[in-house]
Amino acid sequence: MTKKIIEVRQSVTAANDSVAEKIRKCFDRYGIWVLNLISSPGAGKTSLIEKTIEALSPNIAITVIEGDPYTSMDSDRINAAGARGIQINTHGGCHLDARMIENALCETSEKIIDFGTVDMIIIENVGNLLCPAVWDLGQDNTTVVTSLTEGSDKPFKYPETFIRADTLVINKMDLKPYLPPPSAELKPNAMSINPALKIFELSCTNGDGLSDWYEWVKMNIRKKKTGIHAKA
Amino acid sequence: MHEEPYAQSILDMAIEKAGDRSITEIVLEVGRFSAIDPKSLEMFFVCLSKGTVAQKASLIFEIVPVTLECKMCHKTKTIDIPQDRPVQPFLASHFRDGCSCGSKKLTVTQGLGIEIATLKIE
Ligand SMILES: Nc1nc2c(ncn2[C@@H]2O[C@H](COP(=O)(O)OP(=O)(O)OP(=O)(O)O)[C@@H](O)[C@H]2O)c(=O)[nH]1
Ligand SMILES: [Mg+2]
Ligand SMILES: [Zn+2]
Ligand SMILES: [Zn+2]
Repeated sequence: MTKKIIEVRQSVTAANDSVAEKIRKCFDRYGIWVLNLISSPGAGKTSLIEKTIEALSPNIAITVIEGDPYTSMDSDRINAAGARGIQINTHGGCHLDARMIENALCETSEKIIDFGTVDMIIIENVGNLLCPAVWDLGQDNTTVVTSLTEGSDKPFKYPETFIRADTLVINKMDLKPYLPPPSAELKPNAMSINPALKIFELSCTNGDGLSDWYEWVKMNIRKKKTGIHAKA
Repeated sequence: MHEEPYAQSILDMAIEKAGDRSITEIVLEVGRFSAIDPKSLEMFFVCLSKGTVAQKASLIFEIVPVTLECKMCHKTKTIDIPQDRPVQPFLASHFRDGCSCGSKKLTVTQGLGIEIATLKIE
C-alpha cells in the first residue's frame, strides 16, 4: 500500500479546547465570571475560597466546582461556608478537563444551577502544579495559589504553569517571621519568568492582604456583567 | 506520570485522521516548557494503542524552542536553551533586557504545550 503523510498541526489538547470554548460561550452569555484555581496540594485553595464566600456572599452568588482525586471533603467545606459546592472526583486523575466541567454543570444545571442567578464560578483544580494549567476549562482567569512554605523555586520547576497563569496568590504570609529569608524570593522568581502576573500576598489565617483580593474579584465580576450588557 | 491523558488524545486524534489505514509514525512537537516526559508518554501510548490502527506507530519527538514576542512592536525572539539546563536564567535575562525597541512587555508565544505535526499512514 502507498505511504502517505498527513499534516495535522493541531494541539494535543484540541478536543478539550473546543469543549472549553463551548462552555466559555455559555458563561459569557450569562455574564458569569469563571476562575480556575491551581496550586500544589495544601497551598490554601479551599481556604481562599471559604474566605471569599464569607466576604462576598450573599450579595454575590458563588458556585464552586471542586476537583478532588477521591474525597468530597473540600465541597463539604464549601457547603458549610454557605455556597453551592459541586464535586468532581477525578479518581486519581491529576487535573480537571473541560468535559468534566461540562458534565458537572449539565447534570446539575436543570435542578440546581440556574445560570441566570450565578455571578461567579470558582473551580478548585486538583492540587498539582504540573499540568492543570494546560487544560482549558472555559475560565476567564487562571490563578496560581502558592504558599510561602513551599519554597521559592516553584516558578522555575513549573514554568509552564506560572507562564499560563495571569494571577498569583502568595498565601500563608503570616508564617514569614518563622521562615528563612530565601522564602521571600518567591515573588521576584515568579515575576522573572512572567512579569505580567498580577500578584496578591495574603494570609487566609490572619486576613492580611485579603481585601485587595476581594476588590479584584468584585472588579472582575462587575466587568463580566457589563460585558454582557455591552453585547446585548 | 501524568502523560496518560496526552497519550489518549494523541491516539484519538491520530485514529480519527487515519480512518482505517494503519499509522506508522506520529511526529510530535513538544514545547521546551511543556511538562512532558517523552519516555512516559511513549509508554502510555504503547499500552493504549494495542489493538488499534496505531499499534505499530512510532512516536517522533521534536523539541520546539521558546519564543518571546514583544507586545509593542511584535518582534519575536527565539531562545535556545540546552535540554539539560534549567530554563529560568535564560528566560529571566531576556525579560530583564526587554525588546530592542525599549519595551519590557514580552510574552511567551511558542514553546508551551504539545502538538501533533504529521502522521505517516499506509
Ligand atoms: N499558617 C497558615 N495556614 C494556612 C493558611 N491558609 C491555609 N492554611 C492551612 O493550610 C492547610 C491547607 O489548606 P487548604 O485550604 O485545605 O489547601 P488546599 O490547597 O485546598 O489543599 P488541597 O485541596 O488538598 O490541595 C490547612 O491546614 C489550612 O488551615 C494561611 O494563610 N496561613
Ligand atoms: Mg482544597
Ligand atoms: Zn494532569
Ligand atoms: Zn519591541
